[in-house]
Amino acid sequence: MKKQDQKENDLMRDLFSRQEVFEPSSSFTEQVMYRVSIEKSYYSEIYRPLISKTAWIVIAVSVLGLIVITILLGGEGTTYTQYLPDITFDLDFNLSWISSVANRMNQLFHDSSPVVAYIIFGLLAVCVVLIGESLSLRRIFQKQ
Amino acid sequence: MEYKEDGQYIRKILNGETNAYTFLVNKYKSMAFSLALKMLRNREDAEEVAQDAFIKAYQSLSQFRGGARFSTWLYRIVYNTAISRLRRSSFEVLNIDDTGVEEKESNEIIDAYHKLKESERKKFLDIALEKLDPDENFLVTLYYYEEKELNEIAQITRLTKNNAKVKIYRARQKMMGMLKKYLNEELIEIL
Repeated sequence: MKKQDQKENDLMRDLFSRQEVFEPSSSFTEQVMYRVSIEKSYYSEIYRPLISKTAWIVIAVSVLGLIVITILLGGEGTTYTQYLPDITFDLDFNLSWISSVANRMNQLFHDSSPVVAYIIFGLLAVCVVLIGESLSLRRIFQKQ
Repeated sequence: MEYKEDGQYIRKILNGETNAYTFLVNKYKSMAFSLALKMLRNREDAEEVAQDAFIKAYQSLSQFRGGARFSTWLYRIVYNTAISRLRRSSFEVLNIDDTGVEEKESNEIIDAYHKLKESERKKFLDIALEKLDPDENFLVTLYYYEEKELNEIAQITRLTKNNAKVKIYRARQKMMGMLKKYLNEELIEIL
């Protein structure tokens, strides 16, 4: 039977040597490469992280730093300015450190309001730039 | 050699030289398209599937391990993409008797085949391939035309080596049966 298999296989190989290979359309390669170029821009532009890992670390450290500063600065029970009604955070419960942080935050916002304003303005500006960049990247992708 | 050449182009692509992919597309487009056409039997669908296969190959090129040939890997993508397309379009499969032929009969068929003219052999091949199931058509083309090893065919189709061997054997039996019928018809025409 092995010999018979061999003979039939030889016949098939002879038969298939007459088989023609079909050609796709003449623009096949161009179409594939066009789609490849879209893929390339898609992956390099759209999926590029807007905020890098390092930037995230810097942001996290800054936020933590702000919290630490607020804890270290000022005393408890600080009041607002004369223009605002007297509000005192004098919460009396076991988690007293929350009350302490809140009071110190109050003091920081009160004592260094220009600094805080600049920080908030800076963060807002960064957000606007990042959103703008993200939108423009999407527009570039859609145009292609 | 061919294997190494493909590897060099793949490294270039991975290093950002996207245009190097043109070489691979030009080299394999005819076979990828032909294989897709065997499965789908429609030029537009086959072209779309072949293009999709090249894009999928490009997207996952970084996952391509040098252990297999690029062609084997690409044909597997073509096969899977074509199978998915076939499932969607619920292709009608013809029922062909695959009992094959007896040994004595087989010898007679082989002798008669060798007496056929070149054009008749080609005509028979077209008729036979048209009647085979799409995946059988794909398998026999890889085995008899592309002369791929059973191991490679198993990798492309995700069949076991034995399963691929059995399927190719059945397809061959079907083709022998069809050849017998074709030769009888030719004989009747002559008489």
